[in-house]
Amino acid sequence: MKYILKFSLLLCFCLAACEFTPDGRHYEEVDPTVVVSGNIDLNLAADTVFIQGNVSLKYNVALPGKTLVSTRLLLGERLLKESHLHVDGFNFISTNYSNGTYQLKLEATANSGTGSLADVMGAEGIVVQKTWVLIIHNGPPPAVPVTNIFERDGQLVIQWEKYKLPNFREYRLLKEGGGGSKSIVITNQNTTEWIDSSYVGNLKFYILTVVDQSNKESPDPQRRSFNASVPAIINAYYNDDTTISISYSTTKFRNNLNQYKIRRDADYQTDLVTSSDPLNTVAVVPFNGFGAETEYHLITEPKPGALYTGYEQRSFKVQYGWAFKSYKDFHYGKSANAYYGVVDNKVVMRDGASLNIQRQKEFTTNYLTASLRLAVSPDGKQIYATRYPYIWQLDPATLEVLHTYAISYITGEASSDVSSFTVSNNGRLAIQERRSYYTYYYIYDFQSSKLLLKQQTNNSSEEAGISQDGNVFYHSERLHVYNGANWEVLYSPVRKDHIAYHPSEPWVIVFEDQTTSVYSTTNGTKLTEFSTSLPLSDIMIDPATGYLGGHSHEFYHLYDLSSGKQIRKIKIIEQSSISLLNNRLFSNDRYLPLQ
Amino acid sequence: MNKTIILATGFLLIFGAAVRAQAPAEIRLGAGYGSYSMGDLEALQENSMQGIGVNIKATERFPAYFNYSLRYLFKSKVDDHFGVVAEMGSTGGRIGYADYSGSYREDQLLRYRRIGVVVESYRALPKGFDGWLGCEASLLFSKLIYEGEISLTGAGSTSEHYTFYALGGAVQPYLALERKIGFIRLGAQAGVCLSLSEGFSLKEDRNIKLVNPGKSSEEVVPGWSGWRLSMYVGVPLSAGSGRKEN
Repeated sequence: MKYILKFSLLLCFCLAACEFTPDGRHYEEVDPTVVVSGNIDLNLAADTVFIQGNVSLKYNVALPGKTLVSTRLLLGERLLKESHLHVDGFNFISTNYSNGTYQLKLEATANSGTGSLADVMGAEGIVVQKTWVLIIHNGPPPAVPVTNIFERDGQLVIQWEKYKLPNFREYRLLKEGGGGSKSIVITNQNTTEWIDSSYVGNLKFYILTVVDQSNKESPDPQRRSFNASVPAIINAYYNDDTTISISYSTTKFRNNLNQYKIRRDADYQTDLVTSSDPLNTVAVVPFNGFGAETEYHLITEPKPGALYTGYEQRSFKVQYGWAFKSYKDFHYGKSANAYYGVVDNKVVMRDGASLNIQRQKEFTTNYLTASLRLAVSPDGKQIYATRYPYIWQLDPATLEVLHTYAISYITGEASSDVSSFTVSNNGRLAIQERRSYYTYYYIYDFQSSKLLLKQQTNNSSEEAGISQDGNVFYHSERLHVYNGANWEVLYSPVRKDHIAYHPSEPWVIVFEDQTTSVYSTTNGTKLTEFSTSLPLSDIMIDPATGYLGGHSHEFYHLYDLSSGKQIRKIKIIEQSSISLLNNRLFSNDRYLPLQ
Repeated sequence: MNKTIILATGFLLIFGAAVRAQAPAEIRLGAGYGSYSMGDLEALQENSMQGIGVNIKATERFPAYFNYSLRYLFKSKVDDHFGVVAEMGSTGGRIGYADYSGSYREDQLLRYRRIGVVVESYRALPKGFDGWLGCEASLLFSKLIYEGEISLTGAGSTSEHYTFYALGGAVQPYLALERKIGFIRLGAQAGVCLSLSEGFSLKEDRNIKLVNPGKSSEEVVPGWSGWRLSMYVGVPLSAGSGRKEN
């Protein structure tokens, strides 16, 4: 029994192992080849798209025979939208992105369409995509750089990079510098060059901006400069007393040239010369004359054009003669063949031929405001300097002080600053002193140590002066002659610049209109009389040569007194103060040798 | 496995009672072949095939299959037999598909365990044959093991495994013809199984029923009804016979 039970149980387990097991396999031959034909459309016109502001993107994915799984719209790596629809859209807010170039990608995933299990299960699929280049630009249009500015065919060419973004309205080219600014507008986006037909030189700035359809203008334009030399006067030289030749450089922008004009300060509105010849470089212009510098202006006038900002001008100062800064109390002393003058508190001695400085001597007193005056006798042997309260006699050759006197010792009374100070060859010193209400005149003879004259008048503006022999003295529009005891009026009235003392002869010369009279300084008799072609003023006799000079209007005339003939006529500037010393004409800052 | 233990326990209890009755007759070990009518499960297969989208085919559709039985019989005073019967059988279904991209498979493994009582009446036949006319009434324990697997090339595979149970009852009238060969009896038996069952429910939660979504979510019921043919070997349990058996 026990065995039967065991057997039965064993049988149960054995039979359980013989249970049904499902079997069978069904394999299908499926062609794994995937054929894709379809289309992805986005409402963007081109492969490269410019985006500004908000744009509604609409897309359409057509994949015939395929089941769309999803569409993904990506900007770079960033997912903009995922959808399961064939037709969908996205409102693209471009202001959320910085300006720049992006790749926009529309990606569609669909089943493979092979009909395989993996296809049916969605594990086997296709991904189709299309990309666009997206240029986001919000805000004002960026400026385009000016790439080149150069001369071509005698004109100035400005070139720039083409503005590549859409919504273009115009280029604005602004020219600045010198005579203001001018701008032009170019509406053709493809234009990348402009010819400035009004550039003839000088530093100019060109600024190019872009204006878009919304009238926004580039905020950060590049400022490109161009500089070429402006035609200028290179030099000027005298042809004669009345004309000078001016040579000037030319502009290489010859086709932009309208004309050159030369003007001068004296009559600025008048064109002395005009020339439209781009090759001519010399012009002959009138000369202002000796005595002051003349400034000439070369004006380069460009042709009119859209970028005309006026003419260019370069100036050039012309001076006749040699540079020399003249002195106060400027004299020539024949004995030492030297010029003497005063500058500040110094007496300066210069060589008569070379004008080189030979000696300088400073005179100081306790009266710092008192001015230094110098008197040199026509023969150059007597030299006195004065600075309140002293008078010094100097050695003409060395400027050493020979004697020192107090002014009050000379005049015999308390005196003040000397306003005029002359000395004769024989040592008669004439002193003019201006005080509050009167002017005092003294003549002191050093040979006899006597005061020969002491007079007082109402204030007079003109300086007094004594003749070479000390016998004739001018003051207060009167010539006085000394008769050995008294001073008698010789000639009256006469202006200071109408009289001249001969430096060696005992003559005093008086000019009255065109008549020149020569009087003896010894007794006051008229020796001779001759007439000049023009009335002369500011006359002076050169202590070195004895020639008489004076000017009338715009000429300086030089006469030989011995013959009474004019030997030289020099163009001068009216009103200029001229000294004739040792055969040289001196103006304030030039001198002109007469030989 | 639990059902198997219950089956075995029940068998042993009845076996023990019979031993105490002191009228044992014989033990029959049988092996048979039977058909089934798994309409619900075939419909479920059909529904699965339609839902995938590829040309899935059923390679097994719950065919007729072997069953195994054990009977413990007692002899009554009028030479009739009564006793207990335990039987197990199985069938199954498979739908599947494969192509270059992968494979798809759903297997349904169906089992039953039956335990019940048997009554048979003796009919003497000429030429040394014995005949039996009998009927069995059983409790029917059904089990459905569902296995699904999808394998995609390059994407790995995934599988599912569920077990469902159903309880029912079966009645099986039959005819048997046997002849004594030596001390054993060799018999052939033909019958019809008529079964009724509840729908399958999930092993872990009896409230979760297996339904056919393609068929108005009707419950899926096992259909074990069908013809039965079997052969058996009977071992007499009389003292003399018992000794011969040993």
